[in-house]
Amino acid sequence: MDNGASSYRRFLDGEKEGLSEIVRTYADGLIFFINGYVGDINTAEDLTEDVFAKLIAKKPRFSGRSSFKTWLYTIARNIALDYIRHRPAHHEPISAAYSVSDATNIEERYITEEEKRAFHNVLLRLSPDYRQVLYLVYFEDFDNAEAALLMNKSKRQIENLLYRAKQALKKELEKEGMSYEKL
Amino acid sequence: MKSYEELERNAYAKAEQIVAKQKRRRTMILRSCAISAGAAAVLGIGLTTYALRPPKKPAPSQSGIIIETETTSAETTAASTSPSTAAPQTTTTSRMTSTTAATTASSTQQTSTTVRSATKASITTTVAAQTTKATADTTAAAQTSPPSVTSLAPTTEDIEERIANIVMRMPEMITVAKTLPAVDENGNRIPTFPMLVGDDRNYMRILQYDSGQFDFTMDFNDDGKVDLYDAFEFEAYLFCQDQYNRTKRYPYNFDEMFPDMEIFDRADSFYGTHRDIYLLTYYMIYHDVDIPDAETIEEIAREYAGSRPFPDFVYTNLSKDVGGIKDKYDERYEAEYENLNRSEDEYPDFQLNAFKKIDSGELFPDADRDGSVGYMDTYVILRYYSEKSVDFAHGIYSDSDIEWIEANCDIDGDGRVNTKDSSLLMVYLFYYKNYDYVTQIEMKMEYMASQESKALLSP
Repeated sequence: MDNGASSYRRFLDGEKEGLSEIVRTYADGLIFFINGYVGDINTAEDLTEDVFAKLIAKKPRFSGRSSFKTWLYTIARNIALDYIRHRPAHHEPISAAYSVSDATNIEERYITEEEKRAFHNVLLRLSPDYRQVLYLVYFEDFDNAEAALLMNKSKRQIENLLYRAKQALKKELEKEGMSYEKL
Repeated sequence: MKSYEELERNAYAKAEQIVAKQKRRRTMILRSCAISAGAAAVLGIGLTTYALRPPKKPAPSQSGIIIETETTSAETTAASTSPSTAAPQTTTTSRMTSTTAATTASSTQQTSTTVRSATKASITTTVAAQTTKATADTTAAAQTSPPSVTSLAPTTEDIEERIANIVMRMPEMITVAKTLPAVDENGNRIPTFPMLVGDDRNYMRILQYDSGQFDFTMDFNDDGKVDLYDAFEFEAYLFCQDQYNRTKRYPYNFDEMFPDMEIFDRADSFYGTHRDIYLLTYYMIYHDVDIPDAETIEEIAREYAGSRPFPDFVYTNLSKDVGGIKDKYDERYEAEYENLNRSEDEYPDFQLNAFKKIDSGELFPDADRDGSVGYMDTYVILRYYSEKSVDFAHGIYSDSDIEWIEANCDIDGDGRVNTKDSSLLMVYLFYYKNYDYVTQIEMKMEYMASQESKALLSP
């Protein structure tokens, strides 16, 4: 059982601190992850709150068939997709400056390595699928199987997607005169 | 960028909203079941009442004309055991309508009857001010002498004042009802306000709303009037909450309008659980608001079907019921007010025979055993019929109560106590006796207040 699972168990047993631990551990990653879907850091923050709210209100059962993180990200993915499906047609654009500033702040809090941060900025230029799979594998350290689960694709599809995403990312990095050793 | 603490705090707040929403849905589903049964019973009563009413008189020939007649009368008609004198005296002169309410006390009264027979079939009768408070006493000596069921019709102003009084005392009376012993010193069961069902309850809700007891507005679309559009909005909200909020097509926010469950529950009980807009129709009738005709209702429904989220569901639920309800109400209320002018020989024999038996004391359908025959008895009979086993199981009815009802409340003499008897008693009270149930509710409260005094005085 990983730390998230034990924290969640304690929360279900009535210990509020359990949820606080989950928030501190996963909030930033979830914001980034959801941002990959919705393309707006403030909305991503709101939807991350929705993820935690769902844990609080519905107390879904964690079966342990996957890691807690995978399970939590699956909830986040569903919430993000649900939002996209029902997104108002005429939603108000959020101030770009505010959004960028917030994104930068969260990024600085979450991505401590300078190289990864630059990498992440380039990542944002890719298509959503490429961005998602690269983010999950290289930032969140999910393996292909877990990424497949999260993206609702087969393992084989993830492998193909990952390959194409890497190629696309390399091109973008080259434009910036950068390289990333893990690619 | 939000801090972790803020994220967590917001998450808890959102969780509360989710839980509240779940509760709303559960409430709605549960109520839908309960109300369907209740509404069916009440509607059944209404329709049976309508079906049992005496034959219609020829329709007035001057439709669209508003006639107001004012009559000053010092007549006093004793409500006695004789059917001929117990029946309300009615004078009809062409379109001039004068109603003299029977009284048990000598009092000078002014009676003003306004009959509107415009294009909409809504006829309002306002019967008016007495120099003495309308406290028709039907409780006196009921066990030893034939019941006298009388009423004095109050003025609009008087009604408002009395309604405010009733509403103010409702919580108190309900509290008292809970603390009262089940039986009085003579072993008679003491009736309590839970007897208020159906029409009574709806009526009380309207009074409560009008008296400012509810802190929500029924004018949901804020266009300055309460009408079917508001009901449609609420229906759409109830059934499509998520989608409704997400569309952001609306200039108002129901979630903000109902920040807590208590307020939502009240609005829900007023509006939402009545998918046929039953209560709203009551409201409109009570306030003499124009009730749209069936075509207009259909038009509104079609408009919603074209512009609102998930409209089919709402449309189906509303349109199939509303038109029919409106027609039934029109007919029912038209019939009710026509009955004010009906003479004895226009009632079918089986009704008239039953009425005469009640007047003579041969029948004493005092179902709630409070010593009088009144509005509550119609509901006790209905309740007895529909919920006998449940109520008996909960000790609400004793063996003697059941024996009493079986022995005294088979008004139509068909060997069973059922909704027909309740309906027949309604016809008797409302039409034959020109019954005023505001007064009856007041009387009930007076009775309960007296019981409260007894309870307080007893060791």
